[in-house]
Amino acid sequence: MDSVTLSTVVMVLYYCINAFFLVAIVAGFFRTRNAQEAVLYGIMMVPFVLRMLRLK
Amino acid sequence: MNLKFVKIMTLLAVIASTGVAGKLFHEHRSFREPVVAGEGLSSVKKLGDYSKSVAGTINDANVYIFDSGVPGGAILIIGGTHAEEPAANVSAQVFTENLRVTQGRVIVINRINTSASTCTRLGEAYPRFFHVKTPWGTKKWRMGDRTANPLDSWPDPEVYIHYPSGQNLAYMDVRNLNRNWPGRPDGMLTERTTFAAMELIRAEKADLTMDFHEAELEYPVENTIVTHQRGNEVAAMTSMMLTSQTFDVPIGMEFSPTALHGLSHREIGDHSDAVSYLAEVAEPMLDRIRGITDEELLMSGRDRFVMKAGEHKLLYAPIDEKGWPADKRIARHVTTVMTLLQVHNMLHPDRAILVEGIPSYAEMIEKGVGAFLHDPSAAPKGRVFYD
Repeated sequence: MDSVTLSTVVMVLYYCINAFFLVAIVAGFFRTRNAQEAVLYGIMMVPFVLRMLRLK
Repeated sequence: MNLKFVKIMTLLAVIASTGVAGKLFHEHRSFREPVVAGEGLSSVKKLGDYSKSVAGTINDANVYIFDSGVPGGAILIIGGTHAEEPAANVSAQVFTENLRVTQGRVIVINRINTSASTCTRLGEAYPRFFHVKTPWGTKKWRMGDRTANPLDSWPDPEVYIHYPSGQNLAYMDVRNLNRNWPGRPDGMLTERTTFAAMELIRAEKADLTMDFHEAELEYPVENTIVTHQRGNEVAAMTSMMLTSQTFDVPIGMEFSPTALHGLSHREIGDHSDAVSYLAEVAEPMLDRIRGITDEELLMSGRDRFVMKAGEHKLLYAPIDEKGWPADKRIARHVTTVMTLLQVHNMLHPDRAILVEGIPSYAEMIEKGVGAFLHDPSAAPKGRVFYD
């Protein structure tokens, strides 16, 4: 397998992992009963969203 | 405080911050730099015309060809290898916008690593854009990074193994265009880009190439011409002429190390008939010890922390309160090519390249480089291109 194909496969897997963590963070945000945790989940969401949208 | 209220406010803050950040990143990545090609332009090709390996990618750069129609030599001028070194792409653009060729051919690529110009270096708080004042308004460019944008080339390997030498380099250098010459058609983005450029050099039978750079004053390869061994005579004479007649700060000349691979001054000369040169000029914003990193520092080249290091003799280039303004850095690069051509023509009259329309060092210092950049809104549509 050439390096470009290999990189593409890793990239797709990476975005899958990114989506998994984003879903987990959003779920945690809605599930938590602690206001401080909710704010923390919110801060954590930003880079994952930007990455999913391929903006950063 | 009510939990529901906190969650709603948090979500609103997330949407707002993501929206603002996203807009800024998108604006930087999608901004197109206008280029008003000089009257002497013969044609504009794409790098992808020389190799399909890069066609349609973000690095499928414009290739501006100025052909006199009179037999002679050919030079390829490369800007934008490292997009955090703006004097490089603006110097190339001074040629693109003003050139008239009366013998031989001049080929210019303003932005050879466009991908690198669509992001800035992580954690360095670089400005996203820089501007140059002109008689008709302000001209704007993307400020970039040293390496290609990870959105275009990712992931990096644990260790980057240069092709074809097998030399091991740092992982991020797989995105550093000047560690990827001569490239390969099935490699990562930067390898494919340099491969296409090598195909261009071979197809256009270039006699010489010039790759523009800037460097921090803490770096020993500074204010110099680095040359392949086949260019020793031309580079040495160019260095002596510029130092004795034109520049206030001398320009040196260095040999390209034979065992250091991936760099343009080594690999272009080794893998084609062209003689490869690389020019460096001082850019204080690249120094690790600099102060506030903003557009003012980028364009003025003035920094009191870098000056202090100079007072302690910790630098490889002089610096005073005048700094290293962009006009001076660009003027040095442009004049270096002009002198290089003069010497090349003297030593190789059968492959001479004669050009006109390029401002002198004194003119660029006196009037500023902006005086030699043209208004895209006032130019004929056929001469306006976007990098």
